[in-house]
Amino acid sequence: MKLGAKFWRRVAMALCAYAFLAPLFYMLSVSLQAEGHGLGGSWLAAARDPHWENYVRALERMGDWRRLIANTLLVSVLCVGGQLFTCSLAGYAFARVEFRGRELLFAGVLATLMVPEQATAIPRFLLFRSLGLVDSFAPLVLPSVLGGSPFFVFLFRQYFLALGPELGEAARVDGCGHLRAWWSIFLPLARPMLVTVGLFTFLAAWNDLWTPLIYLMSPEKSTLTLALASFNRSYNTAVELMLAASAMVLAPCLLAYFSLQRLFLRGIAIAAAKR
Amino acid sequence: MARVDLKGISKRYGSSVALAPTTLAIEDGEFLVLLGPSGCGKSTLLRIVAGLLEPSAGELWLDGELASERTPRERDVALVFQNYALYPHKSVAKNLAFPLEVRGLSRASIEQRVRETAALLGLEALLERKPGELSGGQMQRVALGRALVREPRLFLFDEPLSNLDAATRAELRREIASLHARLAITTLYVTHDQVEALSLGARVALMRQGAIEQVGAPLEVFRRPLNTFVATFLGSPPMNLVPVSINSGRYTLGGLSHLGAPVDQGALVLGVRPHQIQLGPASARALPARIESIERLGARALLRLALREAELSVEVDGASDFERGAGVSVAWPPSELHWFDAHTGARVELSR
Repeated sequence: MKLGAKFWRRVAMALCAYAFLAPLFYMLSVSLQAEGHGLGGSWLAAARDPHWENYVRALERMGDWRRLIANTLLVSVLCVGGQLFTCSLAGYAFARVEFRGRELLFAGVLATLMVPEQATAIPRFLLFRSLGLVDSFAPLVLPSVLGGSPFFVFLFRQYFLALGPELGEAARVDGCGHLRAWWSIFLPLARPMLVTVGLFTFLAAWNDLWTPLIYLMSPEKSTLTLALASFNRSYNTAVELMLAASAMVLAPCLLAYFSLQRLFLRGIAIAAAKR
Repeated sequence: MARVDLKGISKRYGSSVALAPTTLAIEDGEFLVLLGPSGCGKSTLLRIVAGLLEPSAGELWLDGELASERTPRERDVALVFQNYALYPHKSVAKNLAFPLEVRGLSRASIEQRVRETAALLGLEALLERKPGELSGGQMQRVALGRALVREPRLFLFDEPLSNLDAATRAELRREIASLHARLAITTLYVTHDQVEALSLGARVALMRQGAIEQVGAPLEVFRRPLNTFVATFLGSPPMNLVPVSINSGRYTLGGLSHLGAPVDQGALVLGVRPHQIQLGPASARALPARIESIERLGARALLRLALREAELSVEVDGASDFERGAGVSVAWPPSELHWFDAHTGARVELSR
């Protein structure tokens, strides 16, 4: 039998695809069904008689949805900008600036990977409260801007190390300080890395429920995920409306991914190839 | 243009010595070549002068000013790398313009200088290309241009021709020589290639294990090596070295006793370059040898000769009709003999 590896690979890929696509399909089919079926409605019924008005009603239910989108977008974009700035700069320093204690400091940065976010949530909350920043976007954005993710710092460092020492030396002999070398030479060369880290950060910020739930109270500062969560009432959860809203929240993420897919995959491949 | 003075410059990494304390002066406008095998400290020395490495001790003076603490930018030096180190995301024109942009020159003068440099090096047709679209020789030409474009005080080269094929290497070697003849910028050039060292340098400094072994004009270093390392590192094939014992001013080789040893008694190493050895028909009175192998290289041929107690390399005219296994006699002009101490390898001068 020469059915062989190729066939089984196809089967495995089909199973994977099913595992990833089925929930999406389920979400879409429920979001289009008539009121009152809960989670039990059939997708055939939804396909025969799609209730597109669910999407409009979901928007109405969310209240000031333009404001929600604007808030979420603002937070996500600031997070992306902050993360790219901090992580690439720190990665550059760890890769290309010689200073005493560099390796030790880098080990320390990596060690923070092991600390789960939940463990630092309370001290962090106390810190932001003492700064008077609760119920503002600052607690959502500042950690990205000031700290960045240690894993992304690591990615940038590896990428800059892999470029070899000569480019940095050439830049310095040509008259650059470290900041100029980072900005003019290393950042433009790190485009695949910027896309990858930017996309990860955007998705994480866009989908984050935990941090807004802790810090945001005023309705006018609410984000999309908070609005989604509020669909979940103890009585009368309108499942079809909730999933219609979910689909709309998810759409920009899928769009961002597919439009940047090629660069993103290159970044992943590079990250995987370097030690 | 600049005069460079290294005063006791050294570099240590923990307990290992990359560069022993080194004192060296490079005259204004001079072309000095640092020559040595890999790992001898020549690139370390170059990077210290460039300001990319901090010396562990010692002082660097540029034009009579202490420069050890200055940044590369303040030193105003240019460096050409072995792997070109062009900025891959910038076009050739942008690569050339970058050092000028960093120094804040006006757009108009940047454009003019880029155009002049491109014309000087024949890069006009390549200005819009990216480095990835160039051959190795073209890339190194651009790197040369990027170094030249801001008219540095000091030119540094780190094995610039090592990644190129033989023809391109020879072409760029001539080009570097003619650029230096025209611009007379002080140059420090690192290489492991003796052909580059001998043909380019006004002076050559030979390095081994972090220390300079000999400095001098290429021919002087070639003709009067100060030790066995210099004697064998320069010249291809390398100088023949034969340990001999000496009795009352005569040395013994091939079962015969010869006049002309520099000392009365003891053991020395005799050195003679392959092209200085003269071969004749076998005879009872001359030094006998047998031809072990012949390598014909066109214009020249390399022979390996077996003497009673040693082997010799000999370089002869390519047209000569020696045969393997044949017996010959060996002779050399006494003035072309070199003598070295058997233990230290240091040169021993003929004192009489």
